[in-house]
Amino acid sequence: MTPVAEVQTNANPVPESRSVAGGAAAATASAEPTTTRSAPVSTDKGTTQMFGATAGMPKRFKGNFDFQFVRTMGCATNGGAEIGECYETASRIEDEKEDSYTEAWRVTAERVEAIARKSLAGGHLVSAREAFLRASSYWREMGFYQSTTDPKCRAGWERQRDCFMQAGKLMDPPFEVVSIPYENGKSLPGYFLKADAINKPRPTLLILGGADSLAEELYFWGGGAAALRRGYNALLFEIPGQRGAIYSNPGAELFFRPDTEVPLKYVCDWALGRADVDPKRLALAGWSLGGYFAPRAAAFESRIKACIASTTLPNWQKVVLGMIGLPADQPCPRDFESKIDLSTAGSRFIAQGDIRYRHGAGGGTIAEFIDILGKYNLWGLEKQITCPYFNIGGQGEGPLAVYGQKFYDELTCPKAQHIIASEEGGEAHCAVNNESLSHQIVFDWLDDVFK
Amino acid sequence: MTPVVTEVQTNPNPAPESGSVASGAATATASTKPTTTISAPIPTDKGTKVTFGATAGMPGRFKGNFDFQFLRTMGCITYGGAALGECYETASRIEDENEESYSEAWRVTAERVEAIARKSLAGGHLVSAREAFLRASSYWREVGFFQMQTDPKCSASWERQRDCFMQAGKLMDLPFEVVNIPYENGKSLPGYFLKAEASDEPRPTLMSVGGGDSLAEELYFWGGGAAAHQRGYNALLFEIPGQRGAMYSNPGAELFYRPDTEVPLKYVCDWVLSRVDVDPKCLALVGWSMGGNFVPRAAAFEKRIKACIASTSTPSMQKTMLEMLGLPGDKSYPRDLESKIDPSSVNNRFLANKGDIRYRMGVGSGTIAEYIDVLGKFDLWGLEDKITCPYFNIGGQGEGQLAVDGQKFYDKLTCPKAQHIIATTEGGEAHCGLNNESLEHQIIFDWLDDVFK
Repeated sequence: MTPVAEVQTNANPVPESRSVAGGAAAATASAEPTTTRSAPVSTDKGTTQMFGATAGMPKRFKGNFDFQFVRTMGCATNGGAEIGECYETASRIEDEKEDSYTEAWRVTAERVEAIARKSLAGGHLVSAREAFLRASSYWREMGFYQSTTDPKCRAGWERQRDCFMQAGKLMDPPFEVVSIPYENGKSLPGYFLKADAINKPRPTLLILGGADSLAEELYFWGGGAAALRRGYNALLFEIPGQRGAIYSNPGAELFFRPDTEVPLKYVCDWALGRADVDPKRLALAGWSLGGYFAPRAAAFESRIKACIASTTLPNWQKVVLGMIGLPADQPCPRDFESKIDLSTAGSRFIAQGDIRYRHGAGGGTIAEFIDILGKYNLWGLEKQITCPYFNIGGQGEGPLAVYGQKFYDELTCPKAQHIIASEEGGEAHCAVNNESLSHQIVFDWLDDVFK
Repeated sequence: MTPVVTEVQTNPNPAPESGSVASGAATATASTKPTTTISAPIPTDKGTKVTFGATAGMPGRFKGNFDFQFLRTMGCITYGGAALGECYETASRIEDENEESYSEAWRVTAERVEAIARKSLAGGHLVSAREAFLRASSYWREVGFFQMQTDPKCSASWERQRDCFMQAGKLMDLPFEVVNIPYENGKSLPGYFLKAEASDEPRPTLMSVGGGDSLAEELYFWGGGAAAHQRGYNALLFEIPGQRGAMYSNPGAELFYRPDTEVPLKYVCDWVLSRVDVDPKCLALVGWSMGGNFVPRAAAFEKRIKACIASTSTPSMQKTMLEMLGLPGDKSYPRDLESKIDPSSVNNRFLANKGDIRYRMGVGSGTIAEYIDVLGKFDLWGLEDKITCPYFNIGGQGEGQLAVDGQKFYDKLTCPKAQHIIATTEGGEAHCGLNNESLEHQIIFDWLDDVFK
């Protein structure tokens, strides 16, 4: 169940820290992996291999719910959850049962949103803002596992968005709700978080999620709040295929597309049209499937001056095959329906959740969905990425972290890397079990690149 | 384990799921009559589970008192004092009920996170440095938590958690002021003053004091320091005689706990009211854990305190301690308590013999019965009518009998008052609201805002 896999990591300046903080100039040299350690990586079949049950995880649930639980509770770092509210909710969740998951979070979300509205009515604006932020996280979970056709999917998105916008109004300065013009009269939704009230050009981080993330939650684990504290502007945004982008363009069927440089051209146009954005210090961070989007965009969009991938994801098809428990390196069968074990919430989510629909393969077979994923492939672009590049991953991501490092090794641009070990307590996918550590690593590097 | 259905009184519930009462001083007396009574199962296992219950909002990562202490540490995440993965990873190296394993596991984590802080600091990454110092401070605190005062790890961990906290404090937008409050006979009480803003405008001020095992530094997290700051209050985090930092700051003075809390609070009020940035009309005192015994006592005699918050009101330390040790709280206890207390649980070892609380009570070398005798002096009954400022009692269903005792005292108060006993279904039921600092502080500050409106 747990074969020993090779994971490369970085030189270790002090015994317990594995961070490489190299400036743009020094990055190429310092980012050479100088040590190789063998660490046990969880390689269970299915989603657990990338969302592993490692030491830094709660182990409150046996399957994918445990990752989703820590993803939600981890938002506590930036005010998006409370421990007791999460554990109490967990006590009402039956493992592997999506409807129980949904209903449990609905109850919590309703309660915490009621606190927010009561504090707001009483003029207690800090209390209101904080409860709205938590309610936003909890509403998000309500719709997380649902398929496109389930009304809870859309309702969960709407209510998490509403609570987030209410919190955003109570920030100082308030968040700007933005609609970025996109092709054919469509638009991409997002939030612009100004570093400070004045219009001086500031370093700016464009933040992009993955297949199942929403712009709002990028405030927590995507680095939005962390950027603000460090004097950066942050743009939290969605691209075609992401839930908010689809819901914001009704009827447009804005599905995922592999040529991420196209939406990013519109995003860069918009961001660079602002007086408070310093064009010399414009960075892009991509999380989860954003680990495909961000390098792809950086390969073609030269206005992006630094690129961060958590974690670099060179081949989406291979990753999804692994997540549903199928061998990634064998020819794909056409009758996937009979090959996938749908007994876990994790595999049901990949095969039956709304991700497939949002790839434009909602009505087709699973094989057709997998075919489409084959277009999301970074191999061949290694030399086209020229801006400083940071690859961050975690030991709990199993083969995903290994694939990312293989691509990273081939990059010729200034680069640095940190694969968070389980002993660092931030090994989960997107480091959602340690937002503080992941943001410290990313921003300490970015500070130096933009120095 | 035999869950017993115990009656817990709580407040009117304006929204179906919320039990908060936010009422101004003027309306507090009327609105705070408990108008609903809910019957909720409260775990009443023997031993400290009475106060540190294994309820739904708890991690369930450990079987005994470690689970509460784990939660207490991890809960600091709300204000940057922990990261989930660091806590879970540390827990994976802890053997349940083994204090040495606990201490060593946290030492490894504390060393690692402090190294991150120092590296970020050296690189000029000041936000990253501040954040890692705050977490390291929490983790160092745990290294010495369960240790006896004779164990060098006890004072060493206090020093390192303090050093990391002070490093973080220097990196705040308004650096924390490290203060020494003059106390009797040339001694001093340690603390931190967190200014609401850079100007010297008089601001509402919250003085925060911990209990039998808490340190001034951690009050920044769960004691309302950060929460006060976010809301435009000054905060004074301080220690009184008997608390670890007060002892270590006055070497050789043997500054043990004393029941007449109004005496140290006189010095604290003198000091704080000499500051131009403190509004004397808006001076509040909050007490946590055994601080729920200290603050009502101080408020009964020190009238410069304009509002009092107890989490949770603890009218009789002797009864509470006996019950935490698994003994009947209301019966006269035998003199040979050594033979009556089961030393196989970390709770009992910590509270009765191996921890340093007993030493800090001034009975380190006496019998457990003598220790319990001393605790008998920490009793609030008889002071009910002497408390005249607005009073807030906050507790949690996970506190079991302690919350019940606090409510009995609260019921007898004649001052303007309000109360919120956090239900388990609210996910903040733990002792001191430690599993939901946001909720605890929302409830307290929404009330205090109105009192000081």
